[in-house]
Formats: sequence, C-alpha cells, structure tokens
Amino acid sequence: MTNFFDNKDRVGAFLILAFSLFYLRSSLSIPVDSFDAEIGFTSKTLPIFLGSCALVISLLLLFISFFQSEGQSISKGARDYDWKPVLALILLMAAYVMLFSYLGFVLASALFLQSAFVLLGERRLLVSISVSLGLVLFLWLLLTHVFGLYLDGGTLYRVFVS
Amino acid sequence: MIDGILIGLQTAFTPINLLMVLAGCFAGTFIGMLPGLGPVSAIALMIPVTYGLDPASGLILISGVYYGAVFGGSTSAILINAPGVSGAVATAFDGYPMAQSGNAGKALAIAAYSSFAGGTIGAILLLLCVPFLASVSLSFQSSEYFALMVFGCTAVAAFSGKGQVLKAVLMTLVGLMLATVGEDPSGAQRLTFGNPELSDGISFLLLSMATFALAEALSMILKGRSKSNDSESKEMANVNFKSLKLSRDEIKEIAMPVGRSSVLGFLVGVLPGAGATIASFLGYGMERNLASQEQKKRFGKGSPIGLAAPETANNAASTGSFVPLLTLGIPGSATTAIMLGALLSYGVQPGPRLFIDNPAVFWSVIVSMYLGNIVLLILNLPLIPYIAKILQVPRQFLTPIILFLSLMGVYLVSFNTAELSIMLVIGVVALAFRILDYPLAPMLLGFILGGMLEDNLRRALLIWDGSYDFLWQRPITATIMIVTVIVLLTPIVNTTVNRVAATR
Repeated sequence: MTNFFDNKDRVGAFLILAFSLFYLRSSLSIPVDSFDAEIGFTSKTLPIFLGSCALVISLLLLFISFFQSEGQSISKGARDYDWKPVLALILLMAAYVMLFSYLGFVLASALFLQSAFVLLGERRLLVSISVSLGLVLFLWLLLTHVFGLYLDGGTLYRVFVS
Repeated sequence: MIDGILIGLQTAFTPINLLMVLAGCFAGTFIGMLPGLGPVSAIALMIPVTYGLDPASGLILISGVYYGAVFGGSTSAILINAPGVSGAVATAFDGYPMAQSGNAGKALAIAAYSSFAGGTIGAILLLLCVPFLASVSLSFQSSEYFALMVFGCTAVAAFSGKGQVLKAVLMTLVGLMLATVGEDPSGAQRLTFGNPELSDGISFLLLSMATFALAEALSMILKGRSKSNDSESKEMANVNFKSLKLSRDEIKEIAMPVGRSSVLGFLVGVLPGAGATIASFLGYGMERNLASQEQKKRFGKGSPIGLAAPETANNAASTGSFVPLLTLGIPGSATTAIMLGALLSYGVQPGPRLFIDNPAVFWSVIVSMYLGNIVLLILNLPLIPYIAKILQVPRQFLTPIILFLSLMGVYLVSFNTAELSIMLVIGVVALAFRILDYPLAPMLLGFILGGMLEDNLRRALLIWDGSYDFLWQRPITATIMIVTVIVLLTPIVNTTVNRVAATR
C-alpha cells in the first residue's frame, strides 16, 4: 500500500479522480430550468460533461502510472523538504484570517508579519518590528487616506473606543 | 486621416499633457505592482482626479495610468510570481524563472521592449485598418466566440512538457470545473452548497494569488530557499543599465515572435470580450508550438520568447480593444468599459459616427494611448535597476511580505475574510499539486476561459435552436475548430512518430 501512494502521477490522478467524482455527483443534482431544457443545454450540461471528461482522463492517468518504468517517487523528494516552517506558516495564515475581524487590519497584519519573520529565522527584533509595523502602517495610510478605502479597525478597537 | 493625426499630436504634446502622461505612468506602475490593484482599479481610482481636467488631459492621464498599471502587473509577475491581473499570468511563466536565474533586469527590459513593440505594431494596425476591422468584429457571433475560447484552451499544449499532455489537459478541466461554481449564464445558482461566499463564483484574483504567489512562497520555504542567502539575493537583484541591453542574438531570437504575437494579439483584441488575457495565452501557445525543439525545452524555464510573446500580444490586444470601443461604442474589456464611461462623462459618444463627426477626439485618444506607451518605456527603463532591488530583500522578509500582499490583494477586492479562508485552502491544495509536478497554469487558463466558453456556447445554442450544426455550418467557426483539432493533435502525432522512429 505504501508503494501505491509513492508515485506523484498516481497520487495526483487519484486526488483529481476523487474530486471529479464529488463534482460529478454534485452536478447531477443541479436544478434544471425548463426553458434551458428545451434548447438541450441546462445549468448542469457543461458540469456533467467536464466532470465525466476529468473522470476518464484521471482514470487513464492512474492506469498509465502502473506501467511507468520509473515512477516519480514522492518519498525521495519529500526527504529534503523543510515541512515544519511550511506547516507553521499555514497555521499562522489561518490564525491571521480568523483573527482579522477581531484584531483589525493594523494589529492582525503587524502580528502576522512579525511572527512570520521570526518563524523564518529573523532574530533582529528591532529590525523585524520596524519592517512589519512600518509596512503595515504605510499600507494603511496609503489605502485609507490616499485611495479612500475603508479598512476594518476590528472588534477590539471598537470595544476600546466605545 | 493625416489631419486628424496631426490634431491628435498637437493636443498630446502640450506641456501640461506631457506632465499628465508622466504622472499617470508613474502612478500606474506603482498601483499595478500591488497585487489586486490592476489597470481597471488604477483607472477607476484616477477617474475622480480627471474630473477637473479638460477631456484631452483627462484621457491622457488615464492612458498613462493604464499602461503604467499593465507594466506594474508584469513587474510583480516577473519579480515575485504574483500576477495580480489575468493578462500578466502568462508573463509569469517565463518571466519569473528568468528573474530567479539572475536575469531580473533583462526580464523586465524584455517585458518593457515587447510591450512597446506590441503597442507600436498595434497602433500601426489600428491606423491602417480601423473601418475594415470594425465590420469584421461585427461578423463574429457567439459560435465564433465559443470556437475561439476552445482554441484558447489549446494553449494548454504550451504547458505540456515531456509526458505532461494528459496532466495539462486534466488541470485545464479542473480550471473549467472551478469556473462553473456560482451563478451560471442563465442566472441560476449551482455548486455553491448553500454557501453565500460561493454564489458569485471563485474570483480570478483569489485563484491566481493562491496558485501562484501563495503556493510559490510556500514552495520556496518547503525547498529550503526561504533562508537568506545574501550573495544569491544580491546576484539576482544585481541589475545595471548594461544588463538591460539585449544582445544581437537575443533581439534576433525574439524579433519574429514579437512580430507574430503583435498581429495575433491585435486581432484577438479587436474581438469584443476576447481581450488581453486570451491574447497573451494564445501568443505564448503559438510561439511554443512554432519554436524549435531546442527553444521549446527552455519554455517555462526562463525563455526570452516565452516572456516576449505574451507581453507583446497582451499590449497589442489592449490597443486592438480600442477598435470596437471607438468605432462601435462597444467596450470589449473591463478597462475599455471604464474608458467608455470616462469618454461619455466628457460628452464624447464613441460609435460609428465618431470617426467621421469628431476625428480630432478619435485621433487624440489614439495618440494619447500611444504616447503613454512611449513615456512608459522612457520612464520605466531607468527605474528597472531600482525596481529589481525588491529581490535583494532577504528571503525571511520577502516571503512573508509576498504572503501578506497576496492575502491583502484578495481582501481589498471583496473586503471579506471568508474569501481569504478559501484562498488559503486553494493555496495548500495548489502546493500539493506543485509537489506532485502537476502544472497549475493550465488550471488558471481553463478557469479564465470557462465562463466565456459556457456563456457563448449557451447563446449559440439558443440562436441555433439547440442544434450543434453551427460548429460546421458557420465557416469561421468551422475553420477555428479545425485549427484547434490540428493544434491538439500535433504533439500527439509528433510523440508517436518520435517513438516509432526511436524503436526502429
């Protein structure tokens, strides 16, 4: 079983096959307008066609992957990958997105940047804080005062102000 | 016609208007470099500024902003792989690898020269064949547009390296599938799963930022390239004026592709709705198909042709899109729609009579657009060494800043954090496919063309009472479809022939 998933083409085809099946199943339940049905082209015609094509091609790719003489091994390449900072950064972005409405643009963005700088190995705190805060404040001034865009101050800011 | 051009030149070359075009190009370049703020947003932001100006100055300022923003978009695509506008996606395919290999200055210079060449050839074609092209563009119906979109999808062949054809086709299908999410052409909701955030579909910017900028930044960290390597960064950003000069061989290499892509881009631009994006993809695809085996290997790895072709086609198409706007009053793209609004606010009504009734305005617009093109080259070439310094920023700073700007770019369009969550999910999936060596560019191509493809197919079927006869009964449609089949079959036939030859 380990070997089955140790092939880039096969895993990719497998993922798209799963997606195509889900997409096709969802497409079949798209409601149809009676007027569209008369011209033979409804809201689900193209999705069903695309889903079916993707299904066939991903199956074909999956089939071909079994006959590849030298499968592209995932484990071989993954050995050199630096997974930890990537996973940490993904979690950091998720936290940034979740906290954005609460902390507001300036605070959330400055915290995100500062944490990301530290995460990627920046140890000069004064430099990193200056860059994160400087960039965020510059953008905030540019967007709100020059371009006249509204940027959310966040729930926290509103609590303190009121 | 000569009188009209002279009046246009006279108007454009007054000191105040030259100042306007300079300011416009500078502001446009800066705005265009920010992910999420493309030419459309840049022009929209400038419209209030132009209210106090006379029509000619206002239009000249807008044209400067427009060309500046287009160049700015290409700059972020080349330097940080963040094409904020769809027209710059194809630019990133070879521009970014070129910048990464230490030729950032040359990549930006090729983009600038190609854009200029595309704009110039486009302007010449505009001068020569405005009335004729207007009537041709009118003869294009939904069936032809549908065929054109299908043909656009064949650009997928350009991304299919050795053994990648099936993967590229599959990814195009995934892009087309993603394009069906949200409101369909008849206005019905589909595949939204009751989620209001998906009712308008997935935004192009979100998908582009997630698959290119976000996935690229994460991939850099994954491969251990996020740690600051000062000498490497300095080398990449080490751009001087000498490095902007193209060698005779390089000029020779890109000359023909630039010429061909200009004509192709202009013709695609003339068709309302087709626009710069499809022109850039077609330009890229055409040049890859025409390239020698040796040149083909360099595509996607920093090929000058791969960079010059989409940049040229993109700019020529922008010029071409003025044909339907000025001669028929039809805005062929979002940018020309805003330009139409600006023209109307000045009391200028574009349409078939404009060319005859008001030649001065007609030619002023064309001359001012071209002036924007020239000024951009003069203004931005000296700035390239400074712009390229972005790459000198240590990686532990640059990578998070790219992530932040990408997220902000998407947020600034919708002001909705739910879109950021979707973007993050797509970014992670895109990273997985990057690791698995599945090309992401075809997915974006499919996504861009998907909506237009379905819309035109549906309309064609309505016109033809549900019959698919239009595919062979309309000569232009049939011709485009035949060319599509030939382009798709060529790599398969070539591979088979090579295999047979190899076994003998």
